[in-house]
Amino acid sequence: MTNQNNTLVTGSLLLLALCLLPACQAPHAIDVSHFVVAGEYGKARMVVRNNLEKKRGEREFLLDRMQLGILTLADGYPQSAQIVFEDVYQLLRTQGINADRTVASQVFYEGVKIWKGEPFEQALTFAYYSMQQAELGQWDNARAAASNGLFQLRDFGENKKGERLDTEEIARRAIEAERKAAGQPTAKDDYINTGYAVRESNFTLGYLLQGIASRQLGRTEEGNDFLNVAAQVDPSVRPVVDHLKSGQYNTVFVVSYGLGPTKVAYGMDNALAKFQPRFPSDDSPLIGRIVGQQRAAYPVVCDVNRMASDHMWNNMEDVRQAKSILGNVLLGAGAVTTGVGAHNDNDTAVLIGIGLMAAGALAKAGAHADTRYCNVMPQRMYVVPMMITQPNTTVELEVQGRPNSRIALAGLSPPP
Amino acid sequence: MRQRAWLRSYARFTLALTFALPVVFFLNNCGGPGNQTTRMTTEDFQEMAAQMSQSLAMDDNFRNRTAQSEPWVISIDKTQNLSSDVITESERWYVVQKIRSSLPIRTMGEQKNVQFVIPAEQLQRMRNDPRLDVKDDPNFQRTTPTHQMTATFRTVTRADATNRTDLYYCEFHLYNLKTGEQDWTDKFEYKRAAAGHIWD
Repeated sequence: MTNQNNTLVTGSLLLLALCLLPACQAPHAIDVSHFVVAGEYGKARMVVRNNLEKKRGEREFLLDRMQLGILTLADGYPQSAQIVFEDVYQLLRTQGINADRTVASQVFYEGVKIWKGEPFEQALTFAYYSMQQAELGQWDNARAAASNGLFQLRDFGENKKGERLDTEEIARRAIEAERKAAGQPTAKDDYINTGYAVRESNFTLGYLLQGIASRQLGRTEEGNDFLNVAAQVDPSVRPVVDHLKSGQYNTVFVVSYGLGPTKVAYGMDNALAKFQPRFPSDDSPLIGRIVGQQRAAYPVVCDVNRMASDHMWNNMEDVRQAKSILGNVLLGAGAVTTGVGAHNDNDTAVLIGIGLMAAGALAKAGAHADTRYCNVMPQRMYVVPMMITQPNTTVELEVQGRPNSRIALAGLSPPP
Repeated sequence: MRQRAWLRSYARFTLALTFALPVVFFLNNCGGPGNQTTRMTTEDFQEMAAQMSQSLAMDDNFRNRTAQSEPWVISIDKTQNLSSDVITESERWYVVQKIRSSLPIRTMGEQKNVQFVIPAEQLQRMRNDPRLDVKDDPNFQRTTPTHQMTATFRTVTRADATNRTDLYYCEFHLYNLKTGEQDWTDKFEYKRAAAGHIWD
């Protein structure tokens, strides 16, 4: 099996992202994106490492470790990233840790929740763990880590125009559902919890990584199945899938490019949060070649901007917008009723008013969106299988149409 | 008037509750994550090791041996994880080490002249892992293996949006290195289930 000795290499092309850094960065515990943009992963990971949140209950606990793991891997130290990813994996594999605090998460500032990140951030982190294990030659664990990133998703569908529902539209429908339930929604009729269809993941990168890892383990048929799913989910990756299925490679480069989207608060009381691109999406392929050989084009296999903007890959953060609106309405109504009740010596009205104020205050407390996120994710990723047969080989990689993204990896040798 | 006073007190109580509730909710939410994972635990590994060593001790190939039998040196040098859960190298070798140090296996060493060995670098790796309590065996003597044991972890995973169940199997095979024959095999399974959104 020539593939048994394959290697996996991760790299980044982040040269162009600097001019696109947002002027109004969301509040964040540790922002090292300027180092990342400059390619100074060592500095970035040291800053993150020196400021690691130590309390597991804190939202930054996982955020910091996600960033540290990704940066350590990008810096070329997969072995050092092991212990970090183990911690992250342990938390990500703990499911429903916020399930028992649904009410609290909607009522209070979300900082009290244990943070696992947006679903797309979680899936990408599993993918990074998979890459890290692959770089260490642990293909069985690479396969397992990739499989965990292929969890099922919530799909709220499309509107009448056939467009994907955005977060505001889902929130409006949630409010309508609550109103129809006479203001007393139960878990059973809560739109956020029941108004969706369960969908298989469309995480192309995850399927590709699992396919590559399975093939490395000699499970060719299983690997090809995963690769075929990747091509079904995204037909544009068919050339990469065919290349991988042919087995004509001994090295796989996973190349990230640009900075992923930033999370910003907007709307009334900054109650809504959305991901905003820092680096524009397009379908420009990566042009790669072994010096002395023909160039080949490799399609984008993961667009983080698109994932982040699809509600299937988001938490239902916008439920707080609904609560904010409800909070304002109830506070206004409560103040009026209390005033009238006190003036008229109407005890029942006073009680109702105070009750409304209590409910309104609770809802209002959760109004401001939490915009913390993992800010070292790339904008896009490519998977580039190559056959390196000679020592001291040079590989050139460049995003098509962006000559300043070009990098040359010199001194590469066939895997042992 | 008395009713009004009661209502006013009740209103003050409600108002106080308005401010107290967030504190209560906050305190309730300060804890860490609960046990809602299908990952294998140290206890699972220990239980599996105990079952495996008992099974081995009951096998005819071992039961009929005595302290005077030709020595068997079983090398455990290959573990593979085909499960859907990441099992680190240290964790894998921890299972093997637990098997080695279990009472039936140690008894086997004395009464059946059977010794279990693992690669030195794996033993060192476990010693370096602060999460694993691995001690040196003062009676350990390295000799040429006569048998090879392999371990393979597998899972059958069922998952939907809110639930996940993993049925774990660990298959052990024992091969005679002289004859190439399989002298013993067994598999141990256990199920772990977790509820709650995978991403929540």
